[in-house]
Amino acid sequence: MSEIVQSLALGFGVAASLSNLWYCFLGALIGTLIGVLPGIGPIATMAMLLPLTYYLQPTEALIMLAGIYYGAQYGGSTTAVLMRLPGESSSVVTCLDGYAMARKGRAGTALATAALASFFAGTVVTLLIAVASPALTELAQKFGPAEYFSLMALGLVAAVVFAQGSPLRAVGAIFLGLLLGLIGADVNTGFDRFTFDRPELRDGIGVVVVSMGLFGIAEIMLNLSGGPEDQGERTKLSRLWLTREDFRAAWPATLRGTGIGALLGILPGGGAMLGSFASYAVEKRISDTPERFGEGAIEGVAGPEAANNAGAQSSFIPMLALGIPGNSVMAMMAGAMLIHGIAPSPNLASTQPQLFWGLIASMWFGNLMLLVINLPLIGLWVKLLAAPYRMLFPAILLFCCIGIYTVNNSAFEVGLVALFGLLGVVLAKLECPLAPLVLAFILGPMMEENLRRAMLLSRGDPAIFLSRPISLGLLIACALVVALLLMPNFRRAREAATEA
Amino acid sequence: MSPLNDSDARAAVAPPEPAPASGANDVLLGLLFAAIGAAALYIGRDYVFGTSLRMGPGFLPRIVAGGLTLLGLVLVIRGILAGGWALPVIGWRPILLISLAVIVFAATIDRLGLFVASLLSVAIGTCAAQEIRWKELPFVAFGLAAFCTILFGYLLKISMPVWPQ
Repeated sequence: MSEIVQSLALGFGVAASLSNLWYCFLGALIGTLIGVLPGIGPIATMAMLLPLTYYLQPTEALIMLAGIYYGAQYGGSTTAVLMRLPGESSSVVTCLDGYAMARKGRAGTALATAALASFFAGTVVTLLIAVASPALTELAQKFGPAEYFSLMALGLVAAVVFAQGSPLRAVGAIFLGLLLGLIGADVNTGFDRFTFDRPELRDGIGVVVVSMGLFGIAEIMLNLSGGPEDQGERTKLSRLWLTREDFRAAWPATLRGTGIGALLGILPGGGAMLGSFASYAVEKRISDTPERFGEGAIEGVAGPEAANNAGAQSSFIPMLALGIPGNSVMAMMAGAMLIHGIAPSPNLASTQPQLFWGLIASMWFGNLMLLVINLPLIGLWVKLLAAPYRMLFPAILLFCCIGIYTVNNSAFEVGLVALFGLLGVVLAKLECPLAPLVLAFILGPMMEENLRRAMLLSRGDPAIFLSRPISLGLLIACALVVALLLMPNFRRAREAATEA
Repeated sequence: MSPLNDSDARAAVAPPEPAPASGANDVLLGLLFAAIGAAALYIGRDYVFGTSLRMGPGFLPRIVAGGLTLLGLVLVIRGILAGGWALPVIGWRPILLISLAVIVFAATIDRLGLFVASLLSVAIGTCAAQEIRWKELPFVAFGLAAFCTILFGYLLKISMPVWPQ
């Protein structure tokens, strides 16, 4: 226990330095600024702003990127409440009751609820990460290639469950992602696979390129081809504070949302979105008056908002403790670490304690910044929302291009982004979920490496995955999840949760 | 992080409509998967498969590409059985223009530098809007190019060609 206190003290010492606080603030501010723009999610925001962090120290850069992530995440909720436009997927459910509250002249209360619930969830999960990380890091020491492989397999299976729509399409998306991940020189033999004789492809395709194309560029295309510009009805702001009854209703929902979000965020393949949907479903189910949901129930804002913030943050755990990025945002963070010469691995806490604990402590400051930035500046965001999309998208487009180019100074990668943009539009139109694809793309190369190592260790005997207890446990979990997916009751519940 | 885009998101919060029959989507997606999988099998036909002890560079490619092809075919069959032939509506003009804008940026950045590449790509990209406002276009293109040149080229001093070489 005292160890955790010491580590946290170290972290807060690092994070509270003037320059780190400044970059945390700057990240949260710019992230919110970009995140409130409709149609720009956290990934696009982070990729666009990645160049801003190049000339910083590694710790500063990661703190700023994390700030950008929280900001973009929160910015999405602001548009959801005020205009019924979710800036990103995890705030879709906030639209339901948040916008309904706004229509009743309670926009200010809804936004304050979102901010306070997010802050509470952020504080709890910061503590959770501090407590859980050392234990997980210890567990990671017991992880051999077989365990890593099985854990990542579980992540992919979980991604199928969490995806919206037909599971079969999600499985297809996973295979496509794995295939894309295989592009490049084979690690063991140096043999070129699917490189089409382009030297640029020998190192594989960058995660930033894939997610920027599939999410950033494809989103611009879909928005522009999606019929006449629809900005939703604007609402007036009211007083910000919550009444005593509001507090009483929102408080337990926030607690539940935090728990649900934190739990679902830790799973590889999880993240912020699922938590918010699950929390909304739970609140609606246990409420005495479920008919209020959709008509401006404050629990329907507090729960999901706490859950998406908790999930956004707890998805740092697999990356910090095991070195496995659990979703594309974390892959982006891992990419940024690599740019600064730091490889994400279970040893991060011992080799770079300043960075590790500084980042964890900065999560709390990031949440505090969100509160400080958002409550007074809500009026400003409303004004920013008045900018029409036709003025915004050229800037987003250009920032995307520049952001990609600066990663490797490679014009070829910018061209690839156009290709992935097209792929993203086609897949979205055919209702193929993209999140499993990106996760498989990220995990694929790591899975191949660990599979080969495990087979070398066992002299070609696949029983190694079953004879090692942790690996066996993870594979049993995989089988259970698949079995669940085949059960009609669970399928109905899953549809209800992901479609809300 | 998620497959949701703005229009999906809007659909998700809109009042529930009767679920559209998605047979056509399954068939098209299945064909796409099967085509990509088959192409990968063909391109990788000479990659060494190896044994389970010493996996060759072709071990996983063949399994993954084979799996993708198979899944694609299953989707096609499911789609045919489900019926429902409403093809998805895709507005191609903005999609092609945005792609072109990105490609033009890629093609010009190395030789012509940030300013010219930005100018060209914003000019093309802006044409992807629902209605093109010709009077605004030069201002938007010039303004954005100048802003990014100053921000990335001079203030942040990111190493990239700024002017024509």
